[in-house]
Amino acid sequence: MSVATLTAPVSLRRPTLGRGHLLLLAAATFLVTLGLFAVTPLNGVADFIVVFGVAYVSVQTAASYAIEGGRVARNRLALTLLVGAVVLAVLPLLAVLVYTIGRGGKAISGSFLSQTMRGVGPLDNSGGAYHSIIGTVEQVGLASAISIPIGLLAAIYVVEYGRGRFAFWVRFFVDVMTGLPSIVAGLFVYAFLVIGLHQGFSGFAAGMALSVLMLPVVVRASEEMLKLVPNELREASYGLGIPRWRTIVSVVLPAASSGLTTGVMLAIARVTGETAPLLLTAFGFDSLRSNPFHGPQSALPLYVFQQAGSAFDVAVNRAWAGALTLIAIVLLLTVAARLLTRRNRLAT
Amino acid sequence: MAKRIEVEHVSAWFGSFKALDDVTITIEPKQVTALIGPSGCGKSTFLRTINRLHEVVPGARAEGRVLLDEEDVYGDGVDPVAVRRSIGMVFQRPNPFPTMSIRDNVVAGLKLNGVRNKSELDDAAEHSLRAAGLWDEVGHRLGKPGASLSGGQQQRLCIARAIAVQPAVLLMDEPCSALDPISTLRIEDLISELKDNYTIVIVTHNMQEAARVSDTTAFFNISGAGEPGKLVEVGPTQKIFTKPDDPRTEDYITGRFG
Amino acid sequence: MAEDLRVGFHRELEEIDQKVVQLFALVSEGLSAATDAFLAGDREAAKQLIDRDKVIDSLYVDVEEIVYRQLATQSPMAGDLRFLLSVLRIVPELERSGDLAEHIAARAARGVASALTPRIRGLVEQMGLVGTEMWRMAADAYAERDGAAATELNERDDELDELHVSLTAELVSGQLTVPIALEMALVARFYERLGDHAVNIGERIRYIAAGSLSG
Repeated sequence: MSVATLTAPVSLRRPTLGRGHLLLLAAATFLVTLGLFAVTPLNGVADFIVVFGVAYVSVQTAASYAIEGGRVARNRLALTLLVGAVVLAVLPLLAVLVYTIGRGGKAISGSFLSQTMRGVGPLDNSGGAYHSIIGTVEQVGLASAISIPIGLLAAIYVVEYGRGRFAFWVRFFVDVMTGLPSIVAGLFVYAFLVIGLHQGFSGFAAGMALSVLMLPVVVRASEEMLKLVPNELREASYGLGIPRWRTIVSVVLPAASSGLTTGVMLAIARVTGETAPLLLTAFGFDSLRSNPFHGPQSALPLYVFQQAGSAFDVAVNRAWAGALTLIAIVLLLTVAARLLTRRNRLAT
Repeated sequence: MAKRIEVEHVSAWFGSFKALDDVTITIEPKQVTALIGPSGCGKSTFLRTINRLHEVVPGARAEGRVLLDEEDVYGDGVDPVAVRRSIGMVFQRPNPFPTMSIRDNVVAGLKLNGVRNKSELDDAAEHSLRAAGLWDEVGHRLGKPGASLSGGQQQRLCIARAIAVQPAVLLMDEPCSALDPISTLRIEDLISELKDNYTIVIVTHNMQEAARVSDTTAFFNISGAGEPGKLVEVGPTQKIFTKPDDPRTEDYITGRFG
Repeated sequence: MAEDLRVGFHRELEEIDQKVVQLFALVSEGLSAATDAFLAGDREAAKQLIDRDKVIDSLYVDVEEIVYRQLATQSPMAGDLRFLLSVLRIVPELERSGDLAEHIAARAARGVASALTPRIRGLVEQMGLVGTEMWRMAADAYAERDGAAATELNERDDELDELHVSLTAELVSGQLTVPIALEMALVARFYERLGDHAVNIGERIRYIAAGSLSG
């Protein structure tokens, strides 16, 4: 393209493909594909969708090129492919959600949420996940109680005080820990606490394993939130002769508070669904175990795992109900975290 | 309350980079002294060596003596936090604490340093807000968040916050450069009123502002990129802006200098 | 490593300077020519000088306009400010002096010179010389921004004042008719005032150079 062609005077108007035209093209392609499927050995809904999809994109691009010109046609093609990619990405998530709601919704009930599996035989259609819900709450609660204070203090150190090599190594190890496989965390606590210190299975052991997984997430998220607090606030505080620790407590932390809360809630949501570490630490239990420090305890992910492994439908249904409960809890936490962030963005 | 500042042979570094070279100057009390000069000439760095805020930046250090009414703030055993408590600072962009109300912002320097008595704090708040010319506008809504004010009001809030701790000296680092012309003039009027009780040092890019607001003007300059900033000339404002001694000062002021 | 900033403003300042130099030239040459024209009774030369005064007047207006514009739009400071303020005080003196020279030349048409005694003639010639010299000094002082010239100009002005006193004494002695004597008194006054204007200009030049009104 030369300067002359680019800058040559050209009309500002050009023909476009309207929505009506596109619909027409889609309908036409649909019918043609149907016809194709009728006369050839091609078969099946999945194949139909793929063929239709490819055909439509090709037809649209050709029509666009002819009517609207090369540049617009390339634009349209790119846009269509991007939208397609988004749909492909979201589809599995939606599918999981819809399917879980469908299958779990049938089995969930008030009694499911209030009964345990005590005395329930393999073929019985009774029982529930109450003990697992309590277990999850206690274990995640313990994990939070351990990892939130430590994680927050570590983040404060790294951001406010750490300048030299030590801070660098702290950050490095936190990054490494973020990638730790959850089963390894479970195995470590199993070897150390369950067997090594002869404590046996317990909710507390599960809490410890979960905190190992939760800690790096809390540290990272808190670090980012603290870094977001503008330095000018710290300067203003130092300028008033306020000592550093007081500045952190009264100026930096309040300013970062909503971000920190969000980070913490996301960490909790992530760790609530972890199954592998629970296998070796909480181990699972049929009845309610209120004391997490002594003896094996159930938890929702464990419950789902154990029920789903049964050959009998009554158990599998319960597994779906348990899965639905778990998803509901995690979703609630995530949505609450998102709402909190939005409220803060409006406030500033 | 206002103290004299005598700076003797102060130099400042950021790590190994020397930002300020051998500055000696006396800043008189109950006056406004303006620091002018091109970008990067070290005037802001110099300002921060007075209240020891410079050394908060990791790797930064300063040498020399800064005497506040005969007492060296860099002396042995001097607590930098105590120094900053007696010197107030206002920054280029207004920075009220976002999570505090207007009243809490004003008394933050008192409250976070241990003053608990509510009525004392309320009195201090009213006094400072009046001195900053903000009482009429916000006196009836002290509970509102500090960030809900306009830019000019926020800056006056920061000034009120700085004077609430009754400092001897007020340092201002380009206080009006982020504000519109009307807010700027309001704050300049405020500075003229405040100078009766404080020693004020103001860094500014705007020469007309330095000419309007200050009694004494000091011109800082760098001889080239990567060189440390130096004090070139200091004198009564009227003289500096009509017939400065040093040709470099004249070149900068008339805009002949690149 | 000086970059030239404010190029447009500097060009305007140079334009002002050139015009002021032009005005100085017109006035000092005009004064010398006016003295000659008067003493010779040369009507042609006188007419030329009267026309030249119009040039001075329009140049004066030009300079003032350019100066006002710079003051309004360029926020001049330090040396630039002193220069502009002084120019504003110098050009009216130049314009007025141009008028005075023109008045002297105008007397040539009335044939006053032919009726003068040799002594009075001599005094007028002297006053013309001293006046012209003073104006040349003032022009040089302006071009070189020489603040010391003010003192010298003061001394020459004392000389001029003495000449003026002598001339007045001669006029009083009654050797000339009353109408001629009256005209001569005016001419003497014109020369004396020309000297004063030159002295005033010397003061303004001292302000540009030294930045203060006193020495």
